[in-house]
Amino acid sequence: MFIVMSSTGFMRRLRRSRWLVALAVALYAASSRAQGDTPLPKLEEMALPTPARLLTEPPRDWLVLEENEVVIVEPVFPRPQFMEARQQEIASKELDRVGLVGAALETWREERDDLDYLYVIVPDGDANPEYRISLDRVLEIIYHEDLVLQQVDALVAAGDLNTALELLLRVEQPFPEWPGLDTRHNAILMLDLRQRMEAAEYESALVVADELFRIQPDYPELIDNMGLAIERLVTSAVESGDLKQAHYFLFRLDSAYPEHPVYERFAAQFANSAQGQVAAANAARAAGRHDEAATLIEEAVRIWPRLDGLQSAHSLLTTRYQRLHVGVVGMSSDLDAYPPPTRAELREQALTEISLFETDRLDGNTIFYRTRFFDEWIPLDLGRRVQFQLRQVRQPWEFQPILDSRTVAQEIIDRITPGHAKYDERLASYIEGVSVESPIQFTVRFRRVPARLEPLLRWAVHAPEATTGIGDGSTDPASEAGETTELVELAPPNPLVDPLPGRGGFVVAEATGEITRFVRDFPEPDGLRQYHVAEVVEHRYPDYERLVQGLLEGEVSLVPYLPDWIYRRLAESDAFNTAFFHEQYALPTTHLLMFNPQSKTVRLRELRRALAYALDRQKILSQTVLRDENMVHGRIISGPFFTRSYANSVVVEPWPYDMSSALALSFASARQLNDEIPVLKMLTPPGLIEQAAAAEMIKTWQLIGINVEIVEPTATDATEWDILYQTVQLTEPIVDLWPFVSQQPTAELADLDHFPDWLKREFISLDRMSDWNLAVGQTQSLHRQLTSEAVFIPLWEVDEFTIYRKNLDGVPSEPVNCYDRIDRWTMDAFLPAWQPE
Amino acid sequence: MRGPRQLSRLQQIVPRGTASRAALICLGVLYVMSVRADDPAAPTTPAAATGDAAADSPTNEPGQDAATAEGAPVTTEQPAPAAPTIQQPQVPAELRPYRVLVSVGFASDPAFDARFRQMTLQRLQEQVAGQLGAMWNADYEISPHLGAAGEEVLEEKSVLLSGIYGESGYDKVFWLTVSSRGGRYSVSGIEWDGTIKQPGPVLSQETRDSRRIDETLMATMLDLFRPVAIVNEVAPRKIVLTTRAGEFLPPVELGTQFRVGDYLAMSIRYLDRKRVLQRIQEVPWTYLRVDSIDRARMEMTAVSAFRQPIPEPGRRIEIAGLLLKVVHDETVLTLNARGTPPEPLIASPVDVMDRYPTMEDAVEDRIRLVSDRLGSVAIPAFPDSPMRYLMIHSGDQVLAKVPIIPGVTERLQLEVPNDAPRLAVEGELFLLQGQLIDLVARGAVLMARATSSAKAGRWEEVDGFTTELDQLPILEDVLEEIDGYEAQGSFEAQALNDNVQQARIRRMCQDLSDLATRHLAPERRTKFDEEIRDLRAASGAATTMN
Repeated sequence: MFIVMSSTGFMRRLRRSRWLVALAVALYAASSRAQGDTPLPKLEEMALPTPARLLTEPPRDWLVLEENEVVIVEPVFPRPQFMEARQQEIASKELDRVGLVGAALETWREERDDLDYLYVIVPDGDANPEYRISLDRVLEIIYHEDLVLQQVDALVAAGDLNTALELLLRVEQPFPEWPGLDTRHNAILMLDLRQRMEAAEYESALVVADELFRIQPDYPELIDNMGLAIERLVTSAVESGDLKQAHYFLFRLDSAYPEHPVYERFAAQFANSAQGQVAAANAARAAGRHDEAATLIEEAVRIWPRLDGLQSAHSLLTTRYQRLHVGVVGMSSDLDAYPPPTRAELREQALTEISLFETDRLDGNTIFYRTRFFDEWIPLDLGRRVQFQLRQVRQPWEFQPILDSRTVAQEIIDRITPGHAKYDERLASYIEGVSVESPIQFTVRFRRVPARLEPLLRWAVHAPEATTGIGDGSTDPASEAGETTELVELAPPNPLVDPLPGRGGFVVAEATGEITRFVRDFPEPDGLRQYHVAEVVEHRYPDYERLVQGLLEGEVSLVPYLPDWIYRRLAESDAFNTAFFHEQYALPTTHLLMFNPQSKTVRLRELRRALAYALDRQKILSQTVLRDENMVHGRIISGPFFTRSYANSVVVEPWPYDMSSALALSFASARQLNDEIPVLKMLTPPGLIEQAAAAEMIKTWQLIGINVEIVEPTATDATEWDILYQTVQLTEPIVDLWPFVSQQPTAELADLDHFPDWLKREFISLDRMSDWNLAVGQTQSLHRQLTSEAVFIPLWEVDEFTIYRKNLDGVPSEPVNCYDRIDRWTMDAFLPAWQPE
Repeated sequence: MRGPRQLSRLQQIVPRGTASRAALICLGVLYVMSVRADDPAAPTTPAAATGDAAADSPTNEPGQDAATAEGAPVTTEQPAPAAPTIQQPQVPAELRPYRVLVSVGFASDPAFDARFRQMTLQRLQEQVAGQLGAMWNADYEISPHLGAAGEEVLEEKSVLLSGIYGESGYDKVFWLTVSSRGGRYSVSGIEWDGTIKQPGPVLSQETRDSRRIDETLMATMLDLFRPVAIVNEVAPRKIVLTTRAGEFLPPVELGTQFRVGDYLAMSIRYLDRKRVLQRIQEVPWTYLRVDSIDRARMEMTAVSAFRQPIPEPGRRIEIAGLLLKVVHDETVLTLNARGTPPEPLIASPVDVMDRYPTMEDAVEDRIRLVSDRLGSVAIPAFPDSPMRYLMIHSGDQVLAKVPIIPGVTERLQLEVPNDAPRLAVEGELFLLQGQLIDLVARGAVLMARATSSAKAGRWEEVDGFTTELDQLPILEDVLEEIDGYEAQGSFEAQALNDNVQQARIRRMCQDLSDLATRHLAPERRTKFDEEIRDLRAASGAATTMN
């Protein structure tokens, strides 16, 4: 070696005399040459380190000296631009010299001299591997990273993607800004893209292409590869009928490379097909088949949403026939064994059943009612008679039928006639008789004045199936004589005045298990300036996340229910709030556990109380139901009524979480059951939250020795259960409490047989009270007694929200149910946001 | 509707030919003759009774005939029978025949012309005379009150009977109507009894043959006829009655007025010093069962909800019994709790039995019914063995025990004590009992856990459990609550003047107090405290307990 070798200590001593050092170096160099040391290798002779060496051995830099000689040293710092950094250091040092004298000047000189040298460690050297080299002699530093990148180039050329990528990461992680790194990165992406294309993995190739596009859109061959990948993907999507997917790929291509030939070719094909649908839709509209026209135009949108002129045609037809798409997770036909009405069944009921009196709103703790059928109802004789005046006309958008006195009176008579299928024991105990004064007026005579009339009449009356539309609905002698046809021809019914055949509301037109389609029983006539929702299509989604995706992508416009944590996540998003409204329902949903009166095991009061004491409601509500420690949309409750309800007794506290009591009562129960509590069966609705909460409760009960298993709600045998997890909304507890505790649709005396006489008498007293305040007091008393008896275990109540797109109008604030007053709703035409304006 | 009752055993009873009895019969016959002679309204002959005037009328058009016939009595043109026989000689009841008015109305039907009506009435008269002989002293008329009345109209008009015939002196009045529909002839009727001044049930029969209408009328009358008996003697174990007209045996084989096993309903007639009727009082929920019959003399046993339901008859008290007939399929019994106004007793269990339960016989074969929302319960009739016994329950108490013959009347009402205060206390005590179980069980678990922790030397846990124990209600708290319920219940029962209920409330409260005292005795806590103290001392820990 001809370079100056020196230990660090020796060098320090020599720094005192620069001249002496220079002389030593010259002498040493001359002696080294004279001794014939091994010459350093030339740069041209150096072989690029192999990938294995680069990956496994310590990094080494190459110093290229005069005459292209190369010294392999340990990495020099700073890097990658050492020489530039040293020059800046020297320049800075020179500035410090001004004003220095004496020892300070001497020190400065020593430090300045040091900057002219590069101190390196030669790994293969002897015991003292540290050397210094004058910077004047260094022509170039080839860093380890540069060597790696050179190797990456070689590997890319050889098609070794994985090794190249691994080497690239070795540089990228410590030095993300290393010169030349981007170029290699892009090269590797292109290599990856090519290889995926060759493997026919077009979708993943498209992902790689997208990444490369974001970095360098004009990268050679990228446009061709992306076009090819999308062409294959679109072809595949079209073959599988997934046009939405095909559109997605095409729009991506169009967004990346406008007027790409692949896009143009497919767009022309789709546009041609969609144009046919538009023509058919217009023809259907001209023929008055508005539902078909709406279906065809929706199909055109599905085929090619970018069709020129589609938006105006779509707007025209979907405004005339408004079809509301609703996203749900469960359908009304899903369950067999779950006795109470499910969310889906309640939705269907809200669409298909129009009660004489409907819940209008909650004001304070009072429920207010509305009716679509009566102009007025006047209490006479201190309420012992009520005279009803029926409405004679309806607006074109209203979906209820026109009823006559005879129809309503007959319905009442059916309900108070023992033995009739509709017999309602409680109603019969109130109503003594009905008299019809005219086609639009009738009077109900009461044996006892009810505390409140409206909740007793919350049931639907269906107009007779075949009426001749002559006004009073009475049987016309001519029709009896077989002249019905002539009569109809002479006097066709006026849809706004005369009774129409049908039930009103919406009727189920199609139910496939995946969708349920409801259509208006009385369509709106032609010639109106404003039309309303004519059809509701409920679409089933496998879970709530997919449902939200469908909502955001425009598949559905209304979601009647979402778990709270998903709702909160959406509600915090500005983009979501820009596109959607969300309304809180007027009443929260109450969760509770009911006990089967037929089950001998849970007739044991101690066992019921043990189950109640063992539940940590706070924890389950916050962690499982809401997933919110603050429990903003949920509360622990003490009864089956919502928190604001008048029926809540102030002396009743929610069941405390008390494992000591639970354990004690569990032991007491076991003693009465021959020291073994049988495994209890719990029926739980299929909802995600209810299932999870039930699982948590079962875990807790196991701790006190009570084993409970969940019965599948789809089981065919509905009788085998001990505990029922139920979600309810008791809007009018004075009337609803009895059917609720007996788990029957109406209040029947026989259904209270399993209760002790004193409790039975309390229910009867409530039913017989005419004074509202007394009835409220009695309901509160029952709340206390039923809770103490642990007839049910109240859990919590949850605020729920309905979410709908802003093109939907008329949804009331704080709706009573998800289809509250749906006959007033209107929809503007909607195309997803990515469509051209 | 039940068929005609056959008086088949009438002739099988051999008259016991005593001289006195023969003399009585003679006296009775003479009496009847004298009454008829004195009574200007009494028909002299059947022909006179039916009257030929209408039939012989020149204007014998069918419609006119009907109107004429309906408007005028056919017996005579005399006014209605004279006032009761206050001044008449006192003839024994068994020798006094029934004074009967048979009033028949025909529908406005061409088939029922005047001739037909007269013929029918005449045949009916013959049937009565032939079958009942001297037992009935009957008048007949084409009804001025009835048109084409059916069952419902008769029900409605039955309230008029006492007003029309209350002072007429008739013992029995029969309103009968004849109508036709769809080729059938329907006969409906109602009987009014002059002894108790009350109508009986409305019954109907049908025939397809117009020639058998008179027979149907006769059969209907026999079904409607409720024989009367008068109480002579009330002994502790037997009651002796005399059958009205019991010594007049019908000439044909039809049967007697009463049979062994029959039941009678009782009414008390209060008279003034001049033996003028002042008022009539029914004896509720009381029936006399015929044990033996000796011509007109009957011995009976009382079946009643009361201990001494029938007083001794006296000069100013007459006690009459009428035969009860099961004519309906069921009787709807409405239960009311006493109060102002009475409240229907809803959802109360009602046991229907053929005997009262005893210590030896719990009557397992009872029928359990429950009253509906109107407080009503439909009790089915048992024609073969009509007497039934009811037990009305409220909670675990029996509110009432009454005998009943279901099927005699369509509806009955029973007023029972208002049990609401006791039931309310029962409910509160039931809830308190549940809390007591919680309390005892929780206390036991806390003591066990504290003891276990003490043995393990975990004294912080012991202190925690002890604090929890200190916070539990103690015996005095529970007893105070029970006293509160007792005071409230007793006060309400006192307001109802119901001492029995008060006693029951006291007993219930006492039972629960005893239970609480047994399970929440302070000795348990004392013993626990001592055990903990000993354990603490043994472990050398500082004592923190008092």
